[in-house]
Amino acid sequence: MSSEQQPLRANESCLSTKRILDWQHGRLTDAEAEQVLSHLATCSHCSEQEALLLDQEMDVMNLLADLAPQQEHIPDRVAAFVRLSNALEAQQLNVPDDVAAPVTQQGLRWLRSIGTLSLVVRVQNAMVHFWLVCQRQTLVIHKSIWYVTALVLLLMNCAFYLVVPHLLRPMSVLDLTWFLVLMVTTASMVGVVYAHNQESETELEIVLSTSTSIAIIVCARVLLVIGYNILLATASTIFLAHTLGGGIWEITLQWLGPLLFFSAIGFLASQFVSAEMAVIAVLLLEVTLYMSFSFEKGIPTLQLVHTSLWNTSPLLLGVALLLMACAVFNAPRHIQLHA
Amino acid sequence: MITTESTLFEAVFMRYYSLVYQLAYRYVGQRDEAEDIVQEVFLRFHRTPPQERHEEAQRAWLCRVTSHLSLNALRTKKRRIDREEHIFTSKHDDRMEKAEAYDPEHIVVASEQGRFIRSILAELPERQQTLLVLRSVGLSYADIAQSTGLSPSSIGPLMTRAVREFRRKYVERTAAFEGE
Repeated sequence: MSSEQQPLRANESCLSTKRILDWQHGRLTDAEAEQVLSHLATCSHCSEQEALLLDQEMDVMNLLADLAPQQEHIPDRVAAFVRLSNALEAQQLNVPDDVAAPVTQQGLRWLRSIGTLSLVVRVQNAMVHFWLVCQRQTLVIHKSIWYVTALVLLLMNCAFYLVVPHLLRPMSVLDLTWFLVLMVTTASMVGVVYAHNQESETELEIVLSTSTSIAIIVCARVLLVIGYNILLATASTIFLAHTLGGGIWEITLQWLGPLLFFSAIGFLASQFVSAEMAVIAVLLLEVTLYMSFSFEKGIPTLQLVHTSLWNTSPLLLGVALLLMACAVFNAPRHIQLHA
Repeated sequence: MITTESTLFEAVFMRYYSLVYQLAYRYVGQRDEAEDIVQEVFLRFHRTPPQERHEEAQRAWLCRVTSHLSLNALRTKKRRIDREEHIFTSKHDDRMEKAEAYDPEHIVVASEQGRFIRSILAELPERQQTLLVLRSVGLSYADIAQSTGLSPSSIGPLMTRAVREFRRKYVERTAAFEGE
C-alpha cells in the first residue's frame, strides 16, 4: 500500500479530484477531456494525483479479489435453475383450493412445465424431484412393511432348509424355487397393497402437505416396495443357488415376472376394494394358478403346480407394466383422510 | 405468452446467475447463504420483474436486489450473534466460538485473507460496502450508478472516499496485527 495523501491543489488551475475521476470514467465531453488531458501533460502534481487515484482503487480491488468464491465452489447453473424451478412450482401451487382448483391448477402446472424449462432441464428436474419423493417416502412408509417382508423370507428360508427336510422329506431345488416364487410374490403384493393404502396411515398428512401429485407419491411408494422385495428375493435366490445348486438367473426368471404381475394386480385391485379384500382376492388367484386341489385317500390336499406359464416373459412384464400404469393413472387426485 | 415469458426468465437466469452469485458470495462469504440469496433474488425477479426490459436495467435490478438481500442477511446474522452473546454471557466457550466469525484478530491468526478483508468491509457504512463490492465484480461507474440509484457524477467521489476508508482501516488493522 502506498502512503496516504490527501489531494491538494497546487494552484487554482489544478484539477479537482472529481474532475480527474470524471475524466478517468469518460464522463466529460470531448472538449472537456481535451482540456484535462493537456493539463495533465503539463502539470506534474495533477498527473501524480491521477496516478494515485488509479493506484488506490486498483490496490483495493486487488484486496477485494480475495472475497471472490473459488471457481470450483461456484454452483452449477443448471442445478441452481432446477432448484429455483422447484421453489417456483412450490410457490405457485400454494394457492388455496376452491371447487375448480384441481383442474385449473393442473392445467396451469402443465402450461408452466412446458413453458418454463427446456427439455433437458425438465427431465433433470423430474428425476431430481422423483428422487426426493422416494427419499421422503422411504421414511414415511410404515416400518412394518420393511420388517414383515424380511421376516417372512427369513422364516421361509429357515423352515425349508432346517425344519421341513428333517420332519418330512428332503426338498429339491425345484420345490424350493416354487415356494420362493409363492413367498416373494405374496410378500411383494401385500407390501404394495398396504404401502399405498391411505386409510391405514397417520403419516399421510405429510403427503397432503406437499405440492407433489398423489400419483407420483403412490408410484414412488410402490416402486420402493417392489424394489425392496426384488432385493430380498435376489438375496434368497443367491442363497438357494449356492446351497442347493441351480442357476441364479434361471431361478430369478421364475419369480421376477409373477412378482411384478401380482403386485400390479394387487395395486390396481386395492383402488377399488379395501386392502384386505384385495389381498384375499389376489391370494385366491395365486392359489388357483399355482396349486391344485385333490383328494388323496379321501383326504383333501393342496399340491404345487409346476407350470411355466407364469415364468418371466415379455408378455407378462408388459401386462404387469400396463396394470401398474392403469393403477397410477387411476390414483386419486386428492386423498380423503378418515377422522 | 407464458412460454415466451418463461423462456426469457430462463435466459436472464442463465446470463446473470454467475454475476449474482459472485456478488452475494462477496458479501456473505458462505456458499449456502449465497445460494439462498441468489434463489430469493430470482424468485423476486420472477414475481415482480423490472419495468424496463433492456439488459442494463435487468442487470442493475439484479445487482440492487442482491446487495439489499445480502446486507439484510449480514444484519440479521450480526443481530443474532449479538443477541446470543448477550443471553449466553456465562457460557464463555460458546461466546468465544460465536465471536470468532467477527473477531478480526482471530481471522488474521487463521490466515484467512478473505475473511479478514470481509471483516474490514463490514466496518464500512453500507453504501461504501455496496460501492466497493459492485466495483469488485467489474461493474463500471455507470452500471454502479444505475444499480444504486445514485447520480453518475457522484459515484467517482463516493468511490474514492470508500477506497480511502477501506485502505485506512486495512493499514490500521495490519499495523495493529504486526505490532502484537
